[in-house]
Amino acid sequence: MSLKDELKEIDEFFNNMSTHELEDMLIRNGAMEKKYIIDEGFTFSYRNFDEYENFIARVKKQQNGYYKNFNSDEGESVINSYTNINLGAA
Amino acid sequence: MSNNIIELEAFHGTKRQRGIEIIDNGQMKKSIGDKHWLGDGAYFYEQLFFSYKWIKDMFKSRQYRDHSTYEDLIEKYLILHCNIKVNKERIFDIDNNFEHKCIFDRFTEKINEDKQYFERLSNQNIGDGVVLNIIFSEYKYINKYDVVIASFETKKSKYKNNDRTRLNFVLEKQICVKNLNVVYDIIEYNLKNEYDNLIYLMKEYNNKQKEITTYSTKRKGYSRRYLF
Repeated sequence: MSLKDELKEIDEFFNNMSTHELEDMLIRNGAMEKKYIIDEGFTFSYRNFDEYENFIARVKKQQNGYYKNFNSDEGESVINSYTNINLGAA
Repeated sequence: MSNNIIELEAFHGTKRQRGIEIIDNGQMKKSIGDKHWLGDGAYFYEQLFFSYKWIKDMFKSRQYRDHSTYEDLIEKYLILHCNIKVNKERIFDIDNNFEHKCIFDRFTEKINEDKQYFERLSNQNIGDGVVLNIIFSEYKYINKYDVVIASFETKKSKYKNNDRTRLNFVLEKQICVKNLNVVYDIIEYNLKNEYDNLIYLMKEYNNKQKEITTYSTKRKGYSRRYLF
């Protein structure tokens, strides 16, 4: 495919999307890793708060800067062990 | 081996425990998160120096001090040596392929066109890694390309008082592997013989400019002239 045609297809890809859908797509792909305080001294950030089962949780211990990345299954149990978190809260 | 297959020798710095797991499993792990400039994937350098710099910086950020000796560093970190075997047509090469750069730029442009209307992301800068994640996962370039290559101009502060050079940066070339199956022969790299040279290179990398004086016949006096 020529570059001209490729760029046309890219334009169409975006033109077929609403602003809200574009924002969702950006968030799914890492545009906003939202940070929540889940317990004293701990925060976690995750990428995809709209689709809960696909998040990646990063637990940070504020005192010594410890980071650990969990996959979604582990992360869910880590978070649930600390608090009942309202995922919509900022 | 087909003529289109190229082999890249590459280095990956990581925590020792993670590196041992990778070697035992014979497969890389993907790095995910906003610190990764080319999006989700396994990151490599062709130059050992940058992998050393990566683990040196990780050591400092986690231990709150510089490593004091070679043993101090490798107790917690290691560098993996790998071969990346990939069809050159499956490399999304932002450095050397201007069409690829145009495609990347178009995605960035389209994303930023609507930025003013975003409700949740209005104050957020959208990084290159997010753009590449969209290109690969949403626009399905993962079916066409296995690797992304791009270089970044870094350390410009080092040259800020030398306005006579266009080469006022250190070029950091990164290889981001999106398809982990192209990475082979993963072993721990023995840094010991190169350690002294890496320390020396690090000093050069962080080298501050020297201040010298020159005599001006016009001003009939000495003035400071910053040179690197």
